[in-house]
Amino acid sequence: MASSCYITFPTIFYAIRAESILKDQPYSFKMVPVPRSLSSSCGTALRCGCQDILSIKDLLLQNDLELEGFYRLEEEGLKSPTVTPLNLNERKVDEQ
Amino acid sequence: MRDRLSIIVAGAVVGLLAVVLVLQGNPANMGFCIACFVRDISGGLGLHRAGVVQYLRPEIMSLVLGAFVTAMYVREFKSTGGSSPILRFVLGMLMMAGALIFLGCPLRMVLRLAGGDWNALVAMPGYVLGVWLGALFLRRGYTLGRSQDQTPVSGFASPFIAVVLLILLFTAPAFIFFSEEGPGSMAAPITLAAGAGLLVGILAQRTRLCTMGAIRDLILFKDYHLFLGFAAIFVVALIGNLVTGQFVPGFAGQPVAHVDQTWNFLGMTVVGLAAVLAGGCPMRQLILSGEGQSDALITVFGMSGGAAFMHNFGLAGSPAGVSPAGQWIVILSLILLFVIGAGNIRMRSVAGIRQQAKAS
Repeated sequence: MASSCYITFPTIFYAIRAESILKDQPYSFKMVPVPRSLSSSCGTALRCGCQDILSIKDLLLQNDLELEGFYRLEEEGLKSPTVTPLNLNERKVDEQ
Repeated sequence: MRDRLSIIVAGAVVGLLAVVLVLQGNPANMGFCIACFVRDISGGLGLHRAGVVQYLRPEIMSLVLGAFVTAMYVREFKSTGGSSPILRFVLGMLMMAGALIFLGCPLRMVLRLAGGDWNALVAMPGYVLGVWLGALFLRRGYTLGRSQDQTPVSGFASPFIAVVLLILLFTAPAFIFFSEEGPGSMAAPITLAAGAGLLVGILAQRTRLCTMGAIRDLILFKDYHLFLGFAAIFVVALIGNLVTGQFVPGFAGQPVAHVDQTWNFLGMTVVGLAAVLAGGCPMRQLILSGEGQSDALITVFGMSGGAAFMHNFGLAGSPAGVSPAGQWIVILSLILLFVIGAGNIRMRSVAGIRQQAKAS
């Protein structure tokens, strides 16, 4: 079962800024359409490893970005992915 | 994987239904054309008096209702609005202006290409250019601002209008115009057209099929997810046209098309740029309106107003080509789009960021 974490943004403007902020950072990430299981909006989300999401969130907020939500998605083949909204006030993502 | 399969299936179904609708009576290469159909509805309501393009196309109403019912069922219906409504109306008008110069929305551009209309090959790079220009504005900070939650009443406006239009279609009162010749008189049976629209509405709501997003995401993020749907529409419509003998390659003599290539190209540049600035192609605007987004409904109103403007003043393209006045409209549309794009490059909202930072 593959597991990834996602950050969503209120508008595509913030997604583009997030990409430019992160491109020189040592994080592995990709900008992707918001997964259908998270929202029906046609926006863009940031997909990253769950071990990095806290640091990425902090970095983006330090750069004055507006962020909308944080999620973990577990996908297995063609089954519906399991979505877990993350509360990043808790610092332990792996246990959520 | 599941998302990718879904969008390919949705695109394939749209392509297939487009071929079937033409076989059953819709104008050639116009199985689905959101701009043309909204234009026909404007004419049917008497907003313009171009006698050959007046009909209450049930595909549009059922598309909205398909999106609405699905959004309600999966609890994704959300009444929002209030994001630069006037500008969205203008963007809708300009999107329609560009489409009526080329004679088709992005969806019909793909269907025209799949039918062998090589004029669409000229329009396609124009559309990509428009989306690319829009992406430049997005990169520089263009935004129309966030939508706000609204009362359910405003969210229900779009499906309500769709139901009223369907009632008018079935009852056909004297004040509704129905073309007796030309593209407006050519239509698949109402039940088939409505069923096709309903199915596409459901699929498009579930998959977020968007012809603008397909190109935008490729340009901005090298992401081809939405493009898969775009490609599937083309491949299936192409196969369908080849099998049914509707593939007629060439430039001249194509149905509801002209060979003024400069204006085919620039018309779709206008559509691509307007679609990025408005946040979705004409089909996506209809779907979003069905999900309760009154901003999208206002864009659709703008499209309807744009159709009336283009036809009442004789500005729309025709098989004879694009009039000098129509050519000026393209230039003015591009200028207006650049003004709207540049005028909405905003600094980030510091207050919102601080609140978010405190909350976390």
